[in-house]
Amino acid sequence: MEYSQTIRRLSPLNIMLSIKQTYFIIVSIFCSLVVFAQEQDTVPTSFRLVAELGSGYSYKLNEPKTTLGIYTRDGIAGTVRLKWGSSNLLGIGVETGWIPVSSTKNSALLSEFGTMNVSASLSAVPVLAVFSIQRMGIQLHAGLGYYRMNSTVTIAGSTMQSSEWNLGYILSLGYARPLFSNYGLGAEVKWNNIVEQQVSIISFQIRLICRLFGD
Amino acid sequence: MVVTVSIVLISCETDNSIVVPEFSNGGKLAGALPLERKQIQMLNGIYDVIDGTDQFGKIVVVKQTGNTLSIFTGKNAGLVVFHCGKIDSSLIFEGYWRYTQGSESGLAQFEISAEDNGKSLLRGIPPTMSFQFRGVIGDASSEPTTKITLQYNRPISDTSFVILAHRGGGRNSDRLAESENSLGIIQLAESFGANGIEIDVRPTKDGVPILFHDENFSPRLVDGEYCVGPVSNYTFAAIRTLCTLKNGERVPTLREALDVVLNKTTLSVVWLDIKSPDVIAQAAEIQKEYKQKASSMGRTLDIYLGLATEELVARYKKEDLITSAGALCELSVNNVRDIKAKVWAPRWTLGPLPADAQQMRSEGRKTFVWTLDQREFILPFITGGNLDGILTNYPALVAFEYYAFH
Repeated sequence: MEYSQTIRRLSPLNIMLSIKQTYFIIVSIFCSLVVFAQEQDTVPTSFRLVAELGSGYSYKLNEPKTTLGIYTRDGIAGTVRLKWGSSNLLGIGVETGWIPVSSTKNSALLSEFGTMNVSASLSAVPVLAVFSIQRMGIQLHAGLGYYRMNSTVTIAGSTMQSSEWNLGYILSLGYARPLFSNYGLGAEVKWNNIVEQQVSIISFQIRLICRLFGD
Repeated sequence: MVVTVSIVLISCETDNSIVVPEFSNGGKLAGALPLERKQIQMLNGIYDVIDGTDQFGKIVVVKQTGNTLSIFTGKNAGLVVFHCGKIDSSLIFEGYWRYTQGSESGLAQFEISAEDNGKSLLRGIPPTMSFQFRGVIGDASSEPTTKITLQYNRPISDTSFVILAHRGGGRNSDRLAESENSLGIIQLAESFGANGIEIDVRPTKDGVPILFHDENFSPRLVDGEYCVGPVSNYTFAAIRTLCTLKNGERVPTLREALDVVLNKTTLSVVWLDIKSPDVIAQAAEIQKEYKQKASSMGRTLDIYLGLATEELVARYKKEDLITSAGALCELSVNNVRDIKAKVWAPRWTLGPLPADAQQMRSEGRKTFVWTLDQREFILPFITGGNLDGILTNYPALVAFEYYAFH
């Protein structure tokens, strides 16, 4: 309680600033992408509707502020993306999926309430508008939207579930090759940033691409 | 693209914490005996600033605040908080100064030698017009070298005005040493200039009244990876196990908070800002219990159930608390009369309402205005509002304005 303690600065402002930065980042990226695409545009354009399914390893980049025992911050994430756009310029679509953020467990936590069995997990379901550009099989995605954060906590036999929507964004870099006439296979590195919860997750996913409509 | 990636990397969260400095090895106070409160109180007064007007302005208020001595400067809601001690007949004051509406802070060290009033103050002789309170302040953790001289001008004439510190003492956004609505911030509130506090009360899933402002958990208020969404989704055990306030404190219960008020402060008013109808009945029981405890300790402690919405007022009436509990009502004066509230608390943006406040006073009620932080409005409200108190995020500023100019 001494007055000499370290004091933290302005969390609300930090968050507000981050949201503003988020918008700025997304806009900056797409300005860059559009310029890049236009400079590279030398082949005829066709339009298509594409579905993508991805899955792979995810890892939460932030250290936890507190741990209760065994702490896990990796897992298997999944992505579903529906995208419409040209074959070699910009695409637009929506993305959802499931991201395991972290989990913790302690079967004998000493607390003011006695020795307790505690487990908790946090996951995120993104609902994002995504924009993309592709060239020579390389795809850049950026998206903005909300993440549904889901927390499940069990303490001393009592289970609680709680959720909320948080603003966030995504950036990803992928590569894809045609497999059959309407199918392709690829890989993608994704960076999900859930701004309000200050959570960053990187994932490496294999993805199956299916052309639903168009050339 | 390089620029874009750079921006993304720069946007990662940074910890903008600052440190309120302390003297190495405890400073001179390490070898000093503590001063008694009445000895500290001898220094209460309005002082002219002889040296240090750039830092403090032209006049300051010096006031005993619990076990500490505070100086309220007015400039940027500045304050100095001293821990006090004596070595032989010399009085030692060491602590920190800071602008609470800013980020500047530093060490502060004042001293009254035995020959220069030290002996007389210890004998209970109050300072005269010739008394000078002298010391040095510094920037951040550097050795304090900037000379400050305060010339005693006059005593503080009236300390009855209620200065209520918002959220127990102040908001997280003002980078205080303790988190808002924590037990620690309640203990600091007096040193900031408050003689009352406002704290936020809401129930957990299992009905325990806790101190928490927002309906939902967020990184603004807590650290806790699994604390997501409504507070009311979590049991008390879960909250205490999984969440800490921003400076690492546990989320306190209302009982713990009132225990601290009673046993570790001399605060005289507690405004319980009730955040949910579901907690009114329990809060009223606890209010009654702690008023009795205060009475048995010989303490004057007013605890009010703060009702800010029609829904809360309806539940208050439904629970039949009108005759048993003391309420503070933020709605109209008619609502205040309807529930026989003891305090009317209009928002300050309505402007001074001296006629209504005077009417409340004539009915035996008090008027507190909330949440007034703007210096240019504080004095007009004090002088022209017929107020009994002000709720503020900057009690140091209200204390300065009230004691110096009222």
